[in-house]
Amino acid sequence: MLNIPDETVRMAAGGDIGAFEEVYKASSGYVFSVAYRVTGNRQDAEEVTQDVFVKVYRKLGSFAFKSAFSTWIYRIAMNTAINLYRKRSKERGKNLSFDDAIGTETSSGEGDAGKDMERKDNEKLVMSMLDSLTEGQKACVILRDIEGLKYEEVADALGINLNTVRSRLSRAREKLVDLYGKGGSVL
Amino acid sequence: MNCAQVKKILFSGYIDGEMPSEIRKEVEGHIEKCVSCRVLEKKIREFVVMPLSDAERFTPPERVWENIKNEVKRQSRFGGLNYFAEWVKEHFVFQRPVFAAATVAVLLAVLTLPAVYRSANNTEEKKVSMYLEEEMDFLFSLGEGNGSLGEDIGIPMEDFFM
Repeated sequence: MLNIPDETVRMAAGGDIGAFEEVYKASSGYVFSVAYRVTGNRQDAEEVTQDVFVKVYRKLGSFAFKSAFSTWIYRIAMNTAINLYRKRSKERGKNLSFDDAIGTETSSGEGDAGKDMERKDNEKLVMSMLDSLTEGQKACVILRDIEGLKYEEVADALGINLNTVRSRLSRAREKLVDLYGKGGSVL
Repeated sequence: MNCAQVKKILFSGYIDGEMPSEIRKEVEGHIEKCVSCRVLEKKIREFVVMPLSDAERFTPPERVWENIKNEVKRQSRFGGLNYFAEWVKEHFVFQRPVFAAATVAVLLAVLTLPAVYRSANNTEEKKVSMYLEEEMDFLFSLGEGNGSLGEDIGIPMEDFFM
Protein backbone atom coordinates (compact mmCIF):
# COMPACT_ATOMS: atom_id res chain seq x y z
CA MET A 1 0.00 0.00 0.00
CA LEU A 2 0.97 3.59 -0.49
CA ASN A 3 2.64 5.56 2.24
CA ILE A 4 1.65 9.20 2.08
CA PRO A 5 1.79 11.32 5.25
CA ASP A 6 -1.56 12.86 6.27
CA GLU A 7 0.13 16.26 6.46
CA THR A 8 1.07 16.07 2.77
CA VAL A 9 -2.52 15.18 1.91
CA ARG A 10 -3.80 18.14 3.97
CA MET A 11 -1.36 20.52 2.27
CA ALA A 12 -2.39 19.23 -1.15
CA ALA A 13 -6.04 19.68 -0.17
CA GLY A 14 -5.22 23.29 0.67
CA GLY A 15 -4.04 23.85 -2.90
CA ASP A 16 -0.30 23.27 -2.42
CA ILE A 17 0.71 21.99 -5.85
CA GLY A 18 4.09 20.78 -4.54
CA ALA A 19 2.37 18.58 -1.97
CA PHE A 20 -0.01 17.35 -4.65
CA GLU A 21 2.96 16.41 -6.80
CA GLU A 22 4.28 14.33 -3.90
CA VAL A 23 0.93 12.56 -3.67
CA TYR A 24 1.10 11.96 -7.41
CA LYS A 25 4.66 10.61 -7.31
CA ALA A 26 3.80 8.23 -4.48
CA SER A 27 0.65 6.85 -6.03
CA SER A 28 0.69 7.31 -9.80
CA GLY A 29 2.46 3.99 -10.43
CA TYR A 30 -0.26 2.06 -8.60
CA VAL A 31 -3.04 4.02 -10.29
CA PHE A 32 -1.48 3.57 -13.72
CA SER A 33 -0.91 -0.18 -13.17
CA VAL A 34 -4.47 -0.75 -11.99
CA ALA A 35 -5.80 1.28 -14.92
CA TYR A 36 -3.65 -0.63 -17.37
CA ARG A 37 -4.71 -4.02 -15.99
CA VAL A 38 -8.38 -3.07 -16.16
CA THR A 39 -8.41 -1.36 -19.56
CA GLY A 40 -5.71 -3.52 -21.16
CA ASN A 41 -4.45 -0.51 -23.04
CA ARG A 42 -1.71 2.02 -22.35
CA GLN A 43 -3.41 5.08 -23.84
CA ASP A 44 -6.54 4.38 -21.83
CA ALA A 45 -4.44 3.85 -18.71
CA GLU A 46 -2.91 7.32 -19.24
CA GLU A 47 -6.37 8.83 -19.65
CA VAL A 48 -7.59 7.11 -16.49
CA THR A 49 -4.54 8.24 -14.50
CA GLN A 50 -5.10 11.81 -15.60
CA ASP A 51 -8.82 11.68 -14.73
CA VAL A 52 -8.13 10.06 -11.36
CA PHE A 53 -5.67 12.72 -10.21
CA VAL A 54 -7.83 15.60 -11.41
CA LYS A 55 -10.70 14.05 -9.41
CA VAL A 56 -8.40 13.48 -6.42
CA TYR A 57 -7.29 17.11 -6.46
CA ARG A 58 -10.87 18.35 -6.67
CA LYS A 59 -12.14 16.06 -3.92
CA LEU A 60 -9.16 16.17 -1.58
CA GLY A 61 -10.93 18.77 0.55
CA SER A 62 -13.76 16.34 1.27
CA PHE A 63 -11.46 13.45 2.22
CA ALA A 64 -12.24 12.82 5.90
CA PHE A 65 -9.29 10.53 6.81
CA LYS A 66 -11.78 7.89 8.00
CA SER A 67 -10.36 5.31 5.60
CA ALA A 68 -6.80 4.97 4.34
CA PHE A 69 -5.90 7.55 1.71
CA SER A 70 -4.47 4.79 -0.46
CA THR A 71 -7.75 2.84 -0.36
CA TRP A 72 -9.58 6.00 -1.38
CA ILE A 73 -7.28 6.45 -4.38
CA TYR A 74 -7.58 2.78 -5.34
CA ARG A 75 -11.36 3.11 -5.27
CA ILE A 76 -11.36 6.17 -7.52
CA ALA A 77 -8.85 4.48 -9.85
CA MET A 78 -10.82 1.26 -10.07
CA ASN A 79 -14.14 3.04 -10.71
CA THR A 80 -12.67 5.36 -13.33
CA ALA A 81 -10.87 2.49 -15.07
CA ILE A 82 -13.94 0.23 -15.11
CA ASN A 83 -16.08 3.06 -16.50
CA LEU A 84 -13.65 3.71 -19.31
CA TYR A 85 -13.28 -0.02 -19.99
CA ARG A 86 -17.08 -0.35 -20.32
CA LYS A 87 -17.21 2.66 -22.60
CA ARG A 88 -14.43 1.34 -24.82
CA SER A 89 -15.94 -2.16 -24.92
CA LYS A 90 -19.19 -0.66 -26.19
CA GLU A 91 -17.39 1.48 -28.75
CA ARG A 92 -15.32 -1.38 -30.12
CA GLY A 93 -17.82 -4.15 -29.67
CA LYS A 94 -14.99 -6.25 -28.40
CA ASN A 95 -11.95 -5.61 -26.23
CA LEU A 96 -8.64 -4.73 -27.77
CA SER A 97 -6.52 -7.63 -28.82
CA PHE A 98 -3.54 -8.29 -26.66
CA ASP A 99 -1.14 -7.29 -29.42
CA ASP A 100 -2.79 -3.85 -29.64
CA ALA A 101 -2.59 -3.50 -25.90
CA ILE A 102 0.98 -4.60 -25.59
CA GLY A 103 2.13 -2.49 -28.54
CA THR A 104 3.41 0.35 -26.39
CA GLU A 105 4.52 -1.74 -23.48
CA THR A 106 6.88 -0.92 -20.69
CA SER A 107 10.56 -0.56 -21.31
CA SER A 108 12.46 -3.01 -19.18
CA GLY A 109 15.72 -1.29 -19.88
CA GLU A 110 18.66 -3.28 -21.11
CA GLY A 111 18.37 -6.91 -20.34
CA ASP A 112 19.08 -10.15 -22.01
CA ALA A 113 16.78 -11.31 -24.77
CA GLY A 114 15.77 -14.44 -22.84
CA LYS A 115 14.51 -12.47 -19.86
CA ASP A 116 12.78 -9.99 -22.09
CA MET A 117 11.00 -12.81 -23.86
CA GLU A 118 10.03 -14.35 -20.54
CA ARG A 119 8.67 -11.02 -19.33
CA LYS A 120 6.65 -10.54 -22.51
CA ASP A 121 5.28 -14.07 -22.28
CA ASN A 122 4.23 -13.52 -18.69
CA GLU A 123 2.60 -10.21 -19.63
CA LYS A 124 0.68 -11.93 -22.38
CA LEU A 125 -0.42 -14.64 -19.97
CA VAL A 126 -1.47 -12.13 -17.28
CA MET A 127 -3.57 -10.09 -19.71
CA SER A 128 -5.20 -13.19 -21.11
CA MET A 129 -5.93 -14.48 -17.59
CA LEU A 130 -7.54 -11.20 -16.60
CA ASP A 131 -9.52 -11.14 -19.81
CA SER A 132 -11.13 -14.47 -18.94
CA LEU A 133 -12.59 -13.16 -15.67
CA THR A 134 -15.76 -11.26 -14.90
CA GLU A 135 -15.43 -7.58 -14.06
CA GLY A 136 -15.85 -8.19 -10.31
CA GLN A 137 -13.39 -11.09 -10.23
CA LYS A 138 -10.89 -9.13 -12.29
CA ALA A 139 -11.00 -6.19 -9.87
CA CYS A 140 -10.35 -8.48 -6.88
CA VAL A 141 -7.55 -10.37 -8.63
CA ILE A 142 -5.82 -7.14 -9.71
CA LEU A 143 -5.90 -5.66 -6.21
CA ARG A 144 -5.05 -8.88 -4.36
CA ASP A 145 -2.74 -10.87 -6.63
CA ILE A 146 -1.03 -8.09 -8.57
CA GLU A 147 -1.13 -5.15 -6.18
CA GLY A 148 -0.82 -7.31 -3.07
CA LEU A 149 -3.60 -5.70 -1.02
CA LYS A 150 -5.03 -7.52 1.99
CA TYR A 151 -8.62 -8.81 1.80
CA GLU A 152 -9.86 -5.99 4.00
CA GLU A 153 -8.16 -3.39 1.83
CA VAL A 154 -9.62 -4.96 -1.32
CA ALA A 155 -13.07 -4.89 0.29
CA ASP A 156 -12.64 -1.22 1.25
CA ALA A 157 -11.33 -0.21 -2.14
CA LEU A 158 -14.17 -1.92 -3.99
CA GLY A 159 -16.90 -1.12 -1.47
CA ILE A 160 -17.83 -4.80 -1.01
CA ASN A 161 -17.72 -7.10 2.02
CA LEU A 162 -15.00 -9.56 2.95
CA ASN A 163 -17.02 -12.63 2.01
CA THR A 164 -17.61 -11.25 -1.47
CA VAL A 165 -13.85 -10.73 -1.85
CA ARG A 166 -13.24 -14.33 -0.77
CA SER A 167 -15.85 -15.80 -3.06
CA ARG A 168 -14.80 -13.72 -6.08
CA LEU A 169 -11.15 -14.67 -5.61
CA SER A 170 -12.07 -18.29 -5.12
CA ARG A 171 -14.20 -18.44 -8.28
CA ALA A 172 -11.60 -16.54 -10.27
CA ARG A 173 -8.82 -18.92 -9.27
CA GLU A 174 -10.95 -21.96 -9.88
CA LYS A 175 -11.61 -20.71 -13.39
CA LEU A 176 -7.94 -19.84 -13.97
CA VAL A 177 -6.77 -23.26 -12.80
CA ASP A 178 -9.28 -24.84 -15.18
CA LEU A 179 -8.06 -22.73 -18.08
CA TYR A 180 -4.33 -22.54 -17.47
CA GLY A 181 -3.46 -25.33 -15.06
CA LYS A 182 -3.66 -28.26 -17.44
CA GLY A 183 -0.07 -28.50 -18.61
CA GLY A 184 3.25 -28.63 -16.82
CA SER A 185 4.40 -30.65 -13.88
CA VAL A 186 3.28 -29.69 -10.46
CA LEU A 187 4.77 -32.41 -8.36
CA MET B 1 -11.93 -31.92 7.02
CA ASN B 2 -12.77 -33.53 3.67
CA CYS B 3 -11.37 -32.78 0.19
CA ALA B 4 -14.31 -30.61 -0.89
CA GLN B 5 -13.90 -28.35 2.17
CA VAL B 6 -10.13 -28.17 1.77
CA LYS B 7 -10.38 -27.31 -1.94
CA LYS B 8 -12.75 -24.47 -1.14
CA ILE B 9 -10.29 -23.05 1.39
CA LEU B 10 -7.31 -23.60 -0.93
CA PHE B 11 -8.71 -21.26 -3.57
CA SER B 12 -8.75 -18.22 -1.30
CA GLY B 13 -7.84 -17.96 2.40
CA TYR B 14 -5.13 -20.62 2.51
CA ILE B 15 -3.22 -19.37 -0.53
CA ASP B 16 -3.37 -15.78 0.72
CA GLY B 17 -2.56 -16.62 4.32
CA GLU B 18 -5.80 -15.00 5.43
CA MET B 19 -7.30 -17.53 7.78
CA PRO B 20 -7.16 -18.54 11.46
CA SER B 21 -4.05 -20.53 12.31
CA GLU B 22 -5.96 -23.56 13.65
CA ILE B 23 -7.80 -24.02 10.33
CA ARG B 24 -4.54 -23.52 8.48
CA LYS B 25 -2.95 -26.35 10.47
CA GLU B 26 -5.89 -28.62 9.68
CA VAL B 27 -5.56 -27.86 5.95
CA GLU B 28 -1.82 -28.47 6.07
CA GLY B 29 -2.42 -31.81 7.76
CA HIS B 30 -4.89 -32.80 5.06
CA ILE B 31 -2.58 -31.73 2.21
CA GLU B 32 0.25 -33.84 3.58
CA LYS B 33 -1.88 -36.94 3.28
CA CYS B 34 -3.98 -36.14 0.20
CA VAL B 35 -2.25 -36.18 -3.20
CA SER B 36 -5.10 -34.59 -5.14
CA CYS B 37 -5.34 -31.60 -2.78
CA ARG B 38 -1.55 -31.26 -2.80
CA VAL B 39 -1.57 -31.16 -6.61
CA LEU B 40 -4.32 -28.56 -6.59
CA GLU B 41 -2.46 -26.34 -4.13
CA LYS B 42 0.66 -26.42 -6.31
CA LYS B 43 -1.36 -25.76 -9.44
CA ILE B 44 -2.93 -22.67 -7.87
CA ARG B 45 0.46 -21.35 -6.83
CA GLU B 46 2.28 -22.20 -10.04
CA PHE B 47 -0.32 -21.36 -12.67
CA VAL B 48 -2.29 -18.58 -11.05
CA VAL B 49 -0.64 -16.83 -8.13
CA MET B 50 2.92 -16.76 -9.50
CA PRO B 51 2.27 -15.28 -12.97
CA LEU B 52 0.04 -12.63 -11.44
CA SER B 53 2.43 -11.65 -8.67
CA ASP B 54 5.27 -11.51 -11.23
CA ALA B 55 3.25 -9.16 -13.41
CA GLU B 56 5.05 -6.07 -14.64
CA ARG B 57 4.92 -2.76 -12.74
CA PHE B 58 4.22 0.34 -14.75
CA THR B 59 4.83 4.04 -14.41
CA PRO B 60 2.98 6.69 -16.39
CA PRO B 61 4.98 8.85 -18.80
CA GLU B 62 6.00 12.37 -17.74
CA ARG B 63 3.35 14.00 -19.97
CA VAL B 64 0.59 12.63 -17.74
CA TRP B 65 1.75 14.75 -14.80
CA GLU B 66 2.15 17.79 -17.09
CA ASN B 67 -1.44 17.35 -18.29
CA ILE B 68 -2.74 16.95 -14.75
CA LYS B 69 -0.85 20.02 -13.55
CA ASN B 70 -2.21 22.12 -16.42
CA GLU B 71 -5.75 20.87 -15.86
CA VAL B 72 -5.57 21.54 -12.11
CA LYS B 73 -4.26 25.07 -12.73
CA ARG B 74 -6.97 25.72 -15.32
CA GLN B 75 -9.63 24.50 -12.90
CA SER B 76 -8.26 26.66 -10.09
CA ARG B 77 -8.62 29.71 -12.35
CA PHE B 78 -12.29 28.95 -12.99
CA GLY B 79 -12.88 27.60 -9.49
CA GLY B 80 -16.56 28.52 -8.93
CA LEU B 81 -17.65 27.58 -12.42
CA ASN B 82 -15.96 24.22 -12.15
CA TYR B 83 -17.60 23.42 -8.85
CA PHE B 84 -20.96 24.28 -10.43
CA ALA B 85 -20.22 22.06 -13.43
CA GLU B 86 -19.18 19.28 -11.07
CA TRP B 87 -22.37 19.72 -9.03
CA VAL B 88 -24.49 19.50 -12.18
CA LYS B 89 -22.56 16.42 -13.30
CA GLU B 90 -23.01 14.71 -9.96
CA HIS B 91 -26.69 15.52 -9.54
CA PHE B 92 -27.82 14.95 -13.09
CA VAL B 93 -25.72 11.98 -13.98
CA PHE B 94 -27.47 9.14 -15.82
CA GLN B 95 -26.25 5.60 -15.32
CA ARG B 96 -27.81 4.41 -18.58
CA PRO B 97 -28.43 6.23 -21.87
CA VAL B 98 -32.02 4.99 -21.83
CA PHE B 99 -32.73 7.03 -18.67
CA ALA B 100 -31.23 10.10 -20.27
CA ALA B 101 -33.34 9.53 -23.40
CA ALA B 102 -36.49 9.05 -21.32
CA THR B 103 -35.82 12.25 -19.38
CA VAL B 104 -35.23 14.23 -22.58
CA ALA B 105 -38.48 12.82 -24.03
CA VAL B 106 -40.47 13.82 -20.94
CA LEU B 107 -38.90 17.29 -20.89
CA LEU B 108 -39.69 17.76 -24.58
CA ALA B 109 -43.27 16.63 -24.02
CA VAL B 110 -43.71 19.02 -21.10
CA LEU B 111 -42.22 21.93 -23.02
CA THR B 112 -44.08 21.35 -26.29
CA LEU B 113 -47.52 20.40 -24.90
CA PRO B 114 -48.71 23.98 -24.21
CA ALA B 115 -47.66 25.05 -27.70
CA VAL B 116 -49.48 22.10 -29.30
CA TYR B 117 -52.54 22.82 -27.17
CA ARG B 118 -52.45 26.46 -28.15
CA SER B 119 -52.11 25.63 -31.83
CA ALA B 120 -54.99 23.13 -31.59
CA ASN B 121 -57.09 25.86 -29.99
CA ASN B 122 -56.13 28.26 -32.75
CA THR B 123 -57.35 25.80 -35.37
CA GLU B 124 -60.70 25.56 -33.60
CA GLU B 125 -60.95 29.33 -33.33
CA LYS B 126 -60.18 29.68 -37.01
CA LYS B 127 -62.86 27.16 -37.91
CA VAL B 128 -65.46 29.01 -35.83
CA SER B 129 -64.57 32.42 -37.25
CA MET B 130 -64.65 31.06 -40.83
CA TYR B 131 -68.07 29.57 -40.15
CA LEU B 132 -69.32 32.86 -38.72
CA GLU B 133 -67.96 34.75 -41.71
CA GLU B 134 -69.69 32.40 -44.11
CA GLU B 135 -72.91 32.74 -42.17
CA MET B 136 -72.63 36.54 -42.22
CA ASP B 137 -71.98 36.54 -45.98
CA PHE B 138 -74.99 34.33 -46.46
CA LEU B 139 -77.24 36.55 -44.36
CA PHE B 140 -76.04 39.71 -46.13
CA SER B 141 -76.55 38.05 -49.49
CA LEU B 142 -80.19 37.46 -48.57
CA GLY B 143 -80.90 41.15 -48.57
CA GLU B 144 -79.08 41.93 -51.82
CA GLY B 145 -81.87 40.52 -54.05
CA ASN B 146 -79.74 38.62 -56.47
CA GLY B 147 -80.70 34.97 -56.20
CA SER B 148 -81.60 35.33 -52.55
CA LEU B 149 -83.96 33.20 -50.52
CA GLY B 150 -86.78 35.81 -50.71
CA GLU B 151 -86.84 35.90 -54.47
CA ASP B 152 -86.77 32.14 -54.84
CA ILE B 153 -90.02 31.69 -52.99
CA GLY B 154 -91.55 34.80 -54.53
CA ILE B 155 -92.16 36.74 -51.27
CA PRO B 156 -90.41 40.07 -50.54
CA MET B 157 -88.62 39.96 -47.22
CA GLU B 158 -90.46 43.04 -45.89
CA ASP B 159 -93.85 41.41 -46.51
CA PHE B 160 -92.69 38.26 -44.89
CA PHE B 161 -91.69 39.98 -41.66
CA MET B 162 -94.61 42.43 -41.45
